[in-house]
Amino acid sequence: MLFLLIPSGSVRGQIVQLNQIALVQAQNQTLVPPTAPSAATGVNEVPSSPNDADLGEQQILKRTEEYQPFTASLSSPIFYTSNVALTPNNEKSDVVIAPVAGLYCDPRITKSLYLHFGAREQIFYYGKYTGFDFGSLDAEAGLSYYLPQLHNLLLRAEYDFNRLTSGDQLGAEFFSNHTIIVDAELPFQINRAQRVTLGVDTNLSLGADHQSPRRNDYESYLAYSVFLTRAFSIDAAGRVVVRDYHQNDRTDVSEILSASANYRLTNWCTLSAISSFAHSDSNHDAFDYNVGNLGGAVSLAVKF
Amino acid sequence: MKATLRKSILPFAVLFACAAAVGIGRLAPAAIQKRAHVTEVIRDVRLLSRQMAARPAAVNDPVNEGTAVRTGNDSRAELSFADQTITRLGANTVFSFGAAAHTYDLGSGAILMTAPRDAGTVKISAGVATCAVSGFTGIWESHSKSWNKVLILEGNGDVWLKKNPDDHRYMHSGQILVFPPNASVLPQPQEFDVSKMINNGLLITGFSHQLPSWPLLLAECDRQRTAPGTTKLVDPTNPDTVDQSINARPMPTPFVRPTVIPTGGRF
Repeated sequence: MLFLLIPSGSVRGQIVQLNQIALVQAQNQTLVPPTAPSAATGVNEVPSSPNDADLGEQQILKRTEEYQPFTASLSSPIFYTSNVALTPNNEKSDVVIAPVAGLYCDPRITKSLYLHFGAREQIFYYGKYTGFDFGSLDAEAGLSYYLPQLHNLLLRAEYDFNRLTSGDQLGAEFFSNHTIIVDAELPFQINRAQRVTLGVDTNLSLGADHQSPRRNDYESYLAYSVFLTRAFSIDAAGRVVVRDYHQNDRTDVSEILSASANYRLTNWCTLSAISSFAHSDSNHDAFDYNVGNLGGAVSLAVKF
Repeated sequence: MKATLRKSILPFAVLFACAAAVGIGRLAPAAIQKRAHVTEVIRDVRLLSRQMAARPAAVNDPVNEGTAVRTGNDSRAELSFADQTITRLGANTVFSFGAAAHTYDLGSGAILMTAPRDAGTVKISAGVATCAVSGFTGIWESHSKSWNKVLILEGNGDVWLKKNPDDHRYMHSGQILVFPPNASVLPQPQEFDVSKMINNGLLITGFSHQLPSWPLLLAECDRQRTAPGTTKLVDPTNPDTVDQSINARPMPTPFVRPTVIPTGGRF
């Protein structure tokens, strides 16, 4: 089974770039792996001086582009889903087209501290069961901080406003939620082309309209990514999410596996095969379900 | 009466003792830091002082303020200070330090210095430029007729030209500054590849033991190679949002959703 996980917006680009760097370097290993220039960098040699032998090789990692905090992205996943209504039985399958448009801004405050602002709208169109069509709008703002001295531990805190609407009618809201998301993520670089990431996050609902679907999510995840060529990568992730509902004494535990195979056509266009599988257990049996999704996506992303 | 007096004096005496202890503690590093020992000698290394003629340096020789250390061709030396600051000298280098606390002078040639964070701010005079750094590992190269270089391998520093002291360049880990000896304005620092440098620079690899800051240098290499992203991973099939949507639907779903049976309920 093929599963999917791809990073959003600018980070996807960064990870792609980093993995490309890693792959290019694989041919030329030294004691400590050097940082080869990426597509966004050029190479300049430092002028020679009498003590160059004492100093060692001085290679400038010259940025040919300034840091670009804005990312505009447009993606159109289309996938088969085995369980449209997420029911424990009488499952119905369908095809879903879920275009998503996002605009993100990640101004860099210091080398390791970033602000984050983002807005995205994703609309889920179901092929046969159009009554399930819905839109999801997210507006988010937060901080990301990473600690190089602690194995590049990444800490995030973010406020997110989520609004669900019927179909593609932006005014027909049927749920809104204000949440605080706190996340800690620890990357492990196995070698130059492979990376494993461990993380935990909590998603705390501060207020919602309506109350019965309101919940807090507690999640841990393990992700893996590998670059097989300069343009082709595979990402996979496993997540366990505990969804603690505020009402009805309901708690769900969802185990989600996802994976993607991604081929980068250009710097701004990527084709992906996508898949995910979720198994959810609830203390109310009626909310148990299994669902599998399998499909593809075209993603466009521009930084500026 | 005496008892009352003793009682009123006692708190002041304790305070004074504490203040004295803190003061002595602060002064002590400055006093002991200005004495170093030679911890490694490779080929031609000499100690020069005003009082006596130049003499070859040997391991464990003390080096005091006012004494210069000079290396010859293909030669290197290492000095260790009491506050754990380490200075390594490259070939054809003249290095000395004066009476002022944490102030060093690179006459010409190249040095590597590394100091722990608690050593405080270190000031290095290198030809036409001065640098203030703390908790760092850095390399300085200074020549009157060739390029001058400042490289911060890990840590942060501030560099300025002696003839233009108001124009500072703030530097951080993995940055290099290259300027001619007659520069009147410093260029902007650039990023350099720390891993390449620490793999083959003799100031790093040409000594019998590793620098105490070696783990920090490796961490900096790792940071340059694997700077993480800033936003979280997203699955485009978005199972969390679909799950939330199904649970938040105001109307029954278009086909039957099972009725929740309360625990213990029976048909």
